[in-house]
Amino acid sequence: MPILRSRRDDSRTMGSVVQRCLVLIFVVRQVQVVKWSKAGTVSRRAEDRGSIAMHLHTKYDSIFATSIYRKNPAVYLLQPFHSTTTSTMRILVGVKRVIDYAVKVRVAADKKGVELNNVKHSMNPFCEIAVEEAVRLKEKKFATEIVAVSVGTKQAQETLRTALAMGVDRGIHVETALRADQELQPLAVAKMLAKLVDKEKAGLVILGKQSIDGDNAQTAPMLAALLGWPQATFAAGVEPVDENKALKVERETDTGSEVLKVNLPAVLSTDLRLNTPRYATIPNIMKAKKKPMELLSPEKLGVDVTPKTSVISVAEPGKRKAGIMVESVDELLDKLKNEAKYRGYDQRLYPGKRVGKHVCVGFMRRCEKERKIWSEGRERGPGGVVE
Amino acid sequence: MLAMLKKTLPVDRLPACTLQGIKNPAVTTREIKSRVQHPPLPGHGPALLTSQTTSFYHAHRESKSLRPSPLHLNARPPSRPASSDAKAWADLNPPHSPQASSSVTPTDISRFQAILTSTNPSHVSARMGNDQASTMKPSCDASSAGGASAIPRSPSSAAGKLLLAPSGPDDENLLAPYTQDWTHKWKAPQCPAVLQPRTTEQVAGLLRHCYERDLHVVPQGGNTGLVGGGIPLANEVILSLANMNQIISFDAASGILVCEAGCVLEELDAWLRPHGYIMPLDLGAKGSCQIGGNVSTNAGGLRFLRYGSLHGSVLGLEVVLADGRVLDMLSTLRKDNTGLDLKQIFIGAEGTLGVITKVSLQVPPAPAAVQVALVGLESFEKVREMVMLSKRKLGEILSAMELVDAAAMDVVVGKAAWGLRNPLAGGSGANPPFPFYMLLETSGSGEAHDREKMEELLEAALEGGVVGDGTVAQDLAQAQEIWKLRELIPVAMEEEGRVHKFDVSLPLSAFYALVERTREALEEGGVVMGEGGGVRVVGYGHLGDSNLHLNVSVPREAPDPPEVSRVVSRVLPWVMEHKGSVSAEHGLGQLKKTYLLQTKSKEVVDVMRGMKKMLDPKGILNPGKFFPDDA
Repeated sequence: MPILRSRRDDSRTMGSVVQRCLVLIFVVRQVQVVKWSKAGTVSRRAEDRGSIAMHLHTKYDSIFATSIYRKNPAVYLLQPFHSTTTSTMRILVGVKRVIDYAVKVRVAADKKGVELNNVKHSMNPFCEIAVEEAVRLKEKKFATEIVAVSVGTKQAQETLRTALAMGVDRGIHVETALRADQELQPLAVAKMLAKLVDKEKAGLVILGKQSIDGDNAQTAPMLAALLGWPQATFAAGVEPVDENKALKVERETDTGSEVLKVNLPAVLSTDLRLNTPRYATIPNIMKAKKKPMELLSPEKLGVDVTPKTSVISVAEPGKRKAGIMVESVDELLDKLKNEAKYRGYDQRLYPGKRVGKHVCVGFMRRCEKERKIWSEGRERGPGGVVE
Repeated sequence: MLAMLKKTLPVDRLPACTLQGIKNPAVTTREIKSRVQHPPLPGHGPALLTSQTTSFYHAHRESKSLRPSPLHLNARPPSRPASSDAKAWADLNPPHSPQASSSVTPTDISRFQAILTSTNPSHVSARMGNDQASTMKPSCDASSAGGASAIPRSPSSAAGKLLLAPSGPDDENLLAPYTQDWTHKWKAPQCPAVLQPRTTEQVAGLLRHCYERDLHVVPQGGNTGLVGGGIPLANEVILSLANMNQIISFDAASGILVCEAGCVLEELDAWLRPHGYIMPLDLGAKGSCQIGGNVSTNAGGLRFLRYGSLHGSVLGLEVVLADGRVLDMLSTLRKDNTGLDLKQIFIGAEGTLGVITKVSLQVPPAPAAVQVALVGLESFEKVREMVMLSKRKLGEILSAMELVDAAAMDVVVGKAAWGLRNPLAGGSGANPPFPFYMLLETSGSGEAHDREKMEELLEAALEGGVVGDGTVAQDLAQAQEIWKLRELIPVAMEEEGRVHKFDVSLPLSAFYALVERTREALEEGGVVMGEGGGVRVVGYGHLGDSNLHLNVSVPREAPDPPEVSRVVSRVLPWVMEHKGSVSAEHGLGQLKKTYLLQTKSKEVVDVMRGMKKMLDPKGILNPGKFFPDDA
């Protein structure tokens, strides 16, 4: 009889037994929770009142926020804590203020980054698509509230106002002096978003697949891992299924697309094909000025945002050699034969090709055997120089 | 006797204008007046013989030709074969012979070749501005690529180019882009050659030769004109400036650009942007139009409201006259009150007084913050209110105010392949919800300040009920899409069918009344309107300058129905009755040359003719355009 048992082959280990007991205690205590008014900060918001699960979430928040419990599969049994009941579904959308997509970016004089001063900034295009998708889900009555989050300098509030003008209900601005395209890094952002997800009790997070300044495409997957939630990245089509308990997501891949079913709560990241963002109309722009905007900071959220990597230098890609206008077909042929040869246009031998001092004038007729050797050689590819 | 006369002279088919020139006892003035049942299509003969206009024609007895009138609806169609479009526009291209021009002989061709291949170093103006401290390479050396153009040239191209007419039916017609305009309304009957000189010396040499040989020349820029000013009428030689596309110098401190006349407008704008400047004018045709042509026609455009006319932006010109003399007025000084400002007569002369070869321009700094907004309005009174409100609230940052009506929006958004959508249409993207749309653009130096002003304006407009709905572009991509909705209207209309274009200046009170009246008149005439094979009438334009563009598109296959011709011919007289201008920015060219006498007094026109005679005695430059009696 083996003394030591490996965890893998026997599910009835000590840890899992304890978990199951906790589950039982948990389920038993669920009924009594309403009386525990002192437990944690009970949400007084009207929409939270109806659900017992919401109250329970506040009490046991600290237990379930630690990573040990997140890694354990048993925790998934308790997922319904997060507000996925049909009565309230909050979507959290991340937006980032970046250099406008249409602007020609230039490298700064010190070569440590791109030129940011006096350059037009606007919302990241993928974030616009994320906001649009969230607003559409709200119009379809899938979601009840949308919260937009932006991490950045004071001007990020303009981007949040745009999001509010597109139909988002509330904005959260996490203010930091870090440079958005280099020093503010995906892991830090993901940690802050995770904190906000718990704070806001969001049931779905929609982010852009990547930001056009960093092009990291890391925030959404990192966030999903930190939360322990399923993720569907590069979404090109989103549809609620299973009575709004799951989403059918069509993903863009390099070779085509695949369709996933993702249980809620989940993290989505949007790709270009998902939708076309709407224009912010003037009445909405006016209303957006009055919508609530919360101001936070990384310290208040308890997240360390020191950058783990630093940019050493930035350089423009090599300039493509400008094309030359030729005046006649003869000049074109001349240039192709003489100047273009180093581009590998034609390394093979043909009548008219100059080889060293000589010019090939033609090919000799060969007998069958020689022809075979010759064609085999051709198949094998060009070899050495023909003298 | 009378019957015989009436049989020999096809009196009912003669234009009413020429009848007065004929001393025909059989026809009295009263008969002439009563016979004018069918007013002509725009551009030929008098529009409407009111008592006011007949007086001009009594004075004007010099009409030489007795051509069959295109004015009357039972006129013969032209005998030469034409493409379907050219056939339908045949009334704009009547067969006629202008003043005698010698025809181009092979000796002329070889002389042209010789002139174009001569590579003498070009003469750089000695009078260029004093402040050259921060200029680019100043000299335009013929042997090297010289200047700073967008595309480097291989060294052998210092010579000019000569394109010859196809000699047989199998030859591909290299001249097609030069001899026909993009709306397919005008086609040169037989153009012997297109000359593309590279330097001013070559231009002078060519013109000298043509002057000696009495060959008529049509200077041509980008060939984007809408009045046929750059298309030959008979067998003129085309002098294309396309090869002279070098930028000579740019002074970044004062914003003075000196360039050759063949530089494309969009390329100049793109070249200036990294230096922090923009061109003072912007048109829909910017991708093809050349600055020399813009100056020759005094082009207006979308930025006219903010940066003014080319009369103010052009600091100097280098012009080659008809006999080959070079007038070097290429100054880079903003203020120079020494002598008569001769360059002003060449700006807007449409190539009839001289060929512009170099231009010196004052260019404005690029705005740091640009906002674009599109608003929807319920009626034209609200549009007028919004114009006043915008000017008051936006003040100095307002840079463009454009009108797009619902029909125009429909046409552009209807082109599914272009992928444009109406921002105010809502999710369904159904018919345009508003009868009028206004595009507002602000350019300023501070984003926050400009945004505040714009929000203040829009709030006031919304609360005052002036504006129904609107949107402000949130990023550059949305701004470009909103501008495309306005800039692509002419292109969209061209795809709908053949377009009658009217470019008129009207006071704001009568601005849209013209469009409404045209629609009413067509409907009364029983014309089928609307999409899918009907006639479409759209109105759009520069509200800030009171410049309306009225486009009427007719299905392509058939010639114009008579009701359409009738209504279309009454448009310009209506404009003149309401004290507007028949050509706000497009110029006279071929299409509107007859209106010169109706819009300007006889004394003024006589002085104009005197100047033409002085600068071009033999009349070889652009004959048949601009002045009515050259036809």
